[in-house]
Amino acid sequence: MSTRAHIHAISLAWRHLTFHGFRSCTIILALGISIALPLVTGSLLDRGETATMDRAQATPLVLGAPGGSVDLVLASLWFLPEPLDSFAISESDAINESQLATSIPLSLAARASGHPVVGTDVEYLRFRGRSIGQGRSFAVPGECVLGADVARSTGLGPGDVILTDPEGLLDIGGGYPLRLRITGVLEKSESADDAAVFCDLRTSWIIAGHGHVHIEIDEETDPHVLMGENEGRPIASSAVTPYTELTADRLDSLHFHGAASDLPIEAIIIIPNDEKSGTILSARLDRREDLLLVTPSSVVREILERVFRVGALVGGVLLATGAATLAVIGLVLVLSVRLRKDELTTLRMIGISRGTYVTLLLSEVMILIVFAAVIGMLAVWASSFLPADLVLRLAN
Amino acid sequence: MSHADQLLKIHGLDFSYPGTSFRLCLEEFGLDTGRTMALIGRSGCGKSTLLDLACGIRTPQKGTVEFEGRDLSGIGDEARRLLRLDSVGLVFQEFRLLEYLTVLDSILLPIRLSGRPVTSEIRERAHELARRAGIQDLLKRRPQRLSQGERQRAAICRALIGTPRLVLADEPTGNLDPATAESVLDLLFEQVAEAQAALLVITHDHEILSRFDEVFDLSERNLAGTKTKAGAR
Repeated sequence: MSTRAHIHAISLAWRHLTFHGFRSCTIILALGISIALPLVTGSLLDRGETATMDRAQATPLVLGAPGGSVDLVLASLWFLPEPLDSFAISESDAINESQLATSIPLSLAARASGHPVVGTDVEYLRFRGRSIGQGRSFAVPGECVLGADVARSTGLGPGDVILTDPEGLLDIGGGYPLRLRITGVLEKSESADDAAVFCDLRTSWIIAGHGHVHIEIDEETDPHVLMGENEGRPIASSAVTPYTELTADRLDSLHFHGAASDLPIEAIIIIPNDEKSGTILSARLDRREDLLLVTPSSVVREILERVFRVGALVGGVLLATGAATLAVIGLVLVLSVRLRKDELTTLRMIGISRGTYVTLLLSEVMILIVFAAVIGMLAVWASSFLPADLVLRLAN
Repeated sequence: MSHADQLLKIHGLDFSYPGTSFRLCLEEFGLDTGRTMALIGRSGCGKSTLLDLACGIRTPQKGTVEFEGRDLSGIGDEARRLLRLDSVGLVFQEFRLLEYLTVLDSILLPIRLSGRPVTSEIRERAHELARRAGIQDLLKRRPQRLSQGERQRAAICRALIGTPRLVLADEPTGNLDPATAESVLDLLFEQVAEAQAALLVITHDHEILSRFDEVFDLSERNLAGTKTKAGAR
């Protein structure tokens, strides 16, 4: 008999809350946000720490031009647009020739549709354990593969093309954007590789203007492009395509200016053959003043310490905010009980028991808390779809 | 009238609200089963307090309030609560319907609060009461969509759903226009007579006094007088 009265009290609580739907939703939302924020922040920090550290530990050494070690690591591991100086590709060749390590050169200056274009060789994909989900890997200049997120966000796939971003809109004398043919899409890896475009180093150099192809135009096939001749050389009109495309017939004319060993790269990932080789190579490269050798795990540990120090502060602020919100909600509930004095008096006069009365009030609070907790859990679940290295990106 | 028929009996009552100078003193008061009584008196003389004492919401400092021979002061809060749920129907001047309940749920509220199951018989009784009160088509409505008269009719149905032996009404027509008041009173008298319950009604309307079996003027019968109304309802 008593159980039935308590169940009815819960039903009354539910009806009261649904009758005052807007007020209830507002309280649930405020409470839900108070619960969700610390949980989501904590979850993102944990996932961020794990994902960031995993990638850093999987990358033994990184070589770059002198400058900031943090910038070098963020640019070479997460392809963040850090300002890096370049150095000659010959350094990569030298490392390989030393037979102490494998080197993977990275050219990181270009972007396509806002995504980083990473000029490297297919060894990079093997090193990271990336597999091609659709199509095939890049093979010749002008080809590229897309990270899974790039393919999803642009809707592009094998057989499509993607245009590199011009270096500067006002740089009218600069090189034309390059039209990259997409040959494949990487399997999703929940890493920075998902958000990048990968191509051959030569492709990167062409984008940067260190190499080019010649386009043949003649009066018969391109009458709208050919304006005239100057000392036997054709003069093209502005109707010439505003981008460069490396077609098979044009590749024959591809050439680079200057010595091939001097062409620039921004970073080299170094994978020592063993610990001893790594130590020898580190000792050699550490002496070089024109180069910067870093151990990504050490740098990232330093970054994370800073990030998580801020994270702890943010967590404290969120907890304080949550406590304040809870206090306000408590006040709202107390005021609500006072406003409902007549109603509660009526129930007492009719004959509600003290226990049922307490059940009525507590179940209202519990219903609000349960729904708020559901919102909190949903927020944590939704946050699992955010990139694991989001914290690192935001911190940058 | 024999003692066995006396539903409510008050003897040597002395009640005051702590911290106020209000005092209600009654030598004798009685209401028999099946009888109707109007309770009149000046504002603040203790009419509402007497209703509270009659159903055990409050207990006196001295004297006895007996309901069917049981002294309400001696049976404890829980027993008084159950007695109210089982044997007393309350009708208020301000109706006191819960805004978030439909008319049907309002009528069934005392049954649910008592923990008794809402059987099909009880549900039928609720519909029957609503039909007699003329609100059978309004059962799914909430109070905001009812007129004052309809609200009081719903409140009367709520008071009668448990087949009470005593119906206490605190100015049930105080907020109603004369025509509506008349019809609400008709309903109250009719339902109480059918249930063979006793009816005790607080009223300031002297036009309706002739409808009651008895009239009790508390201003005259309160031995403490009406020096102040502070704390009295």
